[in-house]
Amino acid sequence: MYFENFQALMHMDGHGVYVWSAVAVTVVALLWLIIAPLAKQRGLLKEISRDIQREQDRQHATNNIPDSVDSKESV
Amino acid sequence: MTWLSNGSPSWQWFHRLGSPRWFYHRSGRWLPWLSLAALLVLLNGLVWGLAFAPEDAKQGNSFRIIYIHVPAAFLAQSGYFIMAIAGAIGLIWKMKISYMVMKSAAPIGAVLTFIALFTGAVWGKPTWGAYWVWDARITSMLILLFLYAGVIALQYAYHSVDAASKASAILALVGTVNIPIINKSVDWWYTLHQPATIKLTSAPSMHMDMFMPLLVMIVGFYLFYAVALILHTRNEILRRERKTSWVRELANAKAGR
Amino acid sequence: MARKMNSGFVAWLRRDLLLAYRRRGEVASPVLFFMMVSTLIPLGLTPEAARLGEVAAGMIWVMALLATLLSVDGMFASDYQDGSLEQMLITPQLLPLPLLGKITAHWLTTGLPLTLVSPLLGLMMSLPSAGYLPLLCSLALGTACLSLVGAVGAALTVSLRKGGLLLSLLVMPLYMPVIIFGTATVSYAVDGLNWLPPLALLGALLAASVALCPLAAAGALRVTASN
Repeated sequence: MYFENFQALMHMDGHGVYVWSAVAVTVVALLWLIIAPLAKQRGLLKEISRDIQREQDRQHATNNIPDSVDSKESV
Repeated sequence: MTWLSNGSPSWQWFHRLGSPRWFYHRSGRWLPWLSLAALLVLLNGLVWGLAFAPEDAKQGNSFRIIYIHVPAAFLAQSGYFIMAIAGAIGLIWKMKISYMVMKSAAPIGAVLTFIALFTGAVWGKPTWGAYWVWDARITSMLILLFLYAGVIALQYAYHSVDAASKASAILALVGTVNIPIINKSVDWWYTLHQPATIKLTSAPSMHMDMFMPLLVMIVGFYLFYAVALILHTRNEILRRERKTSWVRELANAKAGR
Repeated sequence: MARKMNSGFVAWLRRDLLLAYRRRGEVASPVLFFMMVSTLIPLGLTPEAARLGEVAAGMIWVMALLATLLSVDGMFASDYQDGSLEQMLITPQLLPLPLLGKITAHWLTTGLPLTLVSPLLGLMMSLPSAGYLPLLCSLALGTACLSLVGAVGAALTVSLRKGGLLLSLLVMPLYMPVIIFGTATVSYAVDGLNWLPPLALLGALLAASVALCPLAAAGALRVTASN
C-alpha cells in the first residue's frame, strides 16, 4: 500500500475529504443505477400479473352470464 | 428469398437480437456474469488507484479523483454516441429493441455526466481553490448534461411511443454531429481566455503506475455501463411488450401462478 | 426537374415573406425584445461606459440568441395548425428545399433586422468603435445558423402543445459554438487582432448547417407532424 496505515489512507494529507466524498457520491449514484431498475422490474411484473388477474376475473364474470359469452370476451 | 429464411448464419444474430423476447432471455443469462465481472474490475481498480498508486507530484493525493472522474467522463461521452447509434439503427432498420436501448441509455448517460461534473468540481477545490472553474473539459461536460436532458425531455413529451422514439433518435443524431464541434469550440474558447492553469488529467505524461489503475477503471466503467444498460432495457421491454403472451407468462410465473 | 426543385424553395420563401409582411407587428416583436432587454443590462449591471463596453459584445450576442429563440418557436406552428404543413409533406418536391425557403424567410424577418439594429445597441452599450463591423458580420452569419438549427428544434416540437420551453432546452446546447465564435469575432477586433479567423469558423458552421439542418428538420417533420 502507498499509505502507511488506514488513518493516512483516510486523511490523504488533507485531501481525504475531497477524494472520499467524490468516491461516496459516485458509489451512491452507480448503485442507484442498478437498484432502481431492479426495483422497477419487480413492480412491473407485479403490475402485469395483477392486470392479468383482473382480466381473468372479468372474463369469469361475463362467462357466467349466458347471453354475453360470444364476441365480447376478446375486448 | 430462401436465403433470407434459412439464412447466412452471420446475419442471424442480428435479426435475433432485434427480437425483444430473445434479448430478454439471453441477457438474463449474461447478467450475473457481467455484473460479477464489473464488480470485481471496479473494486480492483478503485483499491489500486486509491490506496496503491503513487501520488501526483503537483496535485498530491487529490489527483486520485482521476480514477473516477475520467472513466465517468469517458463513458458519459461514449454513452451519447451509443445512444445515437441505437437511435440510428432504429431509424434505418426499424428495430424495436434499439429504440428501447436508446431510451435506456439517456438517463444512465445523464447520471454518469453528473458524476463527472461532481467529481470535477470536488477535484477543482484543492487544485484551483474553487469548486467551479470554467475549465474547457468541465464546460463541455455541462453542455453534454444539457444535451442528455434534452433527449430525456423530448422522450417524455410525446404520448405516442413511436413518435417519442423517432423524434429523440433524430435529436440524438443532431447532437452527435454537434458534440465534436462543441468540444472543439469550447477548447478554443478556453485557450482564448485562460492560457495557463493546471489541466485536470494529463494522461500522456502519466507514470505507468498511475496509468494502469486508470485503465482498469475505464474497463470497469464500461462493464458497469453494459450491466446498467441491459437492466434498463429489460424494463423497457417489459413495459412495451406487456400485452404479449411471453411477458404475461413471465409475470404469472413470477407471481407463482 | 431543377426548375421544380427550385420552385419549392422560392415559392415557400415568397409565401412566408408575404405572410410576414401581413403580420408586421409580430415580426417586430423580436427586435423590440432585443431593444428592451438591452435597457435592462445597464440598469442591472452599471451605467459606467468602460465596464459596459467590456461586456457589450457578449451581451448583444446573448440577447440576439434569446430573441431568435423566441421567434423560432412559431416557425412551423401556424402551418401545422392550418394544415399547410401537411400539404408540404405530401408534395412531390424534395422536402428540405421548401424548408430551406421557410428558414431563409425566417432569417430575413428576424435575424436580419436584429443584425441591422445591433449597431444602435452597440452605441447604447458603448461598444468600442473597432467592434461595429465585426458585430454586424458575425451577427449576420450567426443568426442564420441560429435560424437553421432552431428549425430542427421547431420541427421536433411542432405538434406539442407546450413546445416552446422544450424547444429552447433542445436547441440551446446546440447554439453554444455559434455564440463562442460570434463573441470571439467581436472581442478579437476590439483587442486589435485579426478577426477574420473566428468569422471564417462561423461561416464554416453556417455552411455545415445549411447542408444538414434542412435534412434533419425534414426527417423530424415527417415523424412529428403526423402525430
